[in-house]
Amino acid sequence: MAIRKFKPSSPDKSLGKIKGDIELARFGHLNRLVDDIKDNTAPSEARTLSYPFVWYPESTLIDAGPVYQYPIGMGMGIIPAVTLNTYKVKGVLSYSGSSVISQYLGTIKIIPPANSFGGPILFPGKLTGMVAATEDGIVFDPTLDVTTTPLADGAQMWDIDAAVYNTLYGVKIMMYSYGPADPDTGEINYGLVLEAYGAVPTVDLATALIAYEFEFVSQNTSTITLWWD
Amino acid sequence: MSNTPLFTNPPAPKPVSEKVQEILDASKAKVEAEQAKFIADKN
Repeated sequence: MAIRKFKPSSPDKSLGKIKGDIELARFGHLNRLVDDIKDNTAPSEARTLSYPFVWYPESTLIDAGPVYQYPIGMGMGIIPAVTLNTYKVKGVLSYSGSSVISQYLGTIKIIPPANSFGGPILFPGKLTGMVAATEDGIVFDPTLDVTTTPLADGAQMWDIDAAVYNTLYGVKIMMYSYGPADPDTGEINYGLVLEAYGAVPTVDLATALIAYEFEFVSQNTSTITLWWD
Repeated sequence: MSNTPLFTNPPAPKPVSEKVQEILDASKAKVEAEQAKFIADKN
């Protein structure tokens, strides 16, 4: 059965009464997908989707919402329970370089709540991600297998010159402090840096695609932003 | 079928501030030292 394009006829109950730019953009996007699917009815090596795909997304801060309430100052009777929000910094890094990785991902700015009383303003969440590498490295070849490993010790990146996989160790994301809090605003900044080293100390060109998800938790009354310094 | 570049339009690295460059220089030196220790311990 042929797939039909969407027509922005009015009124259309399924789309609501207001047809603004967003709705028109959605029509355009959906109709482009229809064209793409029609043009690719049979699997082929040349099968592609023509809508723009964003490679190499930069770090993005996502507020995933509250996770739980945590009573602080118990026994003091003056501090109510606070809500902790989950935040994630996500991105994909296209790495090419030596076997020593030190990659800046952005700077987290935290303005803690006035009632934090020197307590922790940031709690651990989790650190996840994937390292993807092929035995070619520079050029994508669909006939080659892709090795995917967790972003952790033991991850594999491809050493192009030596034509071997190089195992990563010391994998971590450091939060490098900018120094004391701003005396007026209380602002604190941390530079996020992805660090790792290969088991083989080569200066050859090593390469991998690295997806990372750095999750942390903070009081919902903190103001948190991610910026490029 | 010819190979297709993995990144058809790779973005240029964005410049960073002097503060971040200081952090990265110290970070790289630290990671290099970690790698050297790892290799020394292994041998």
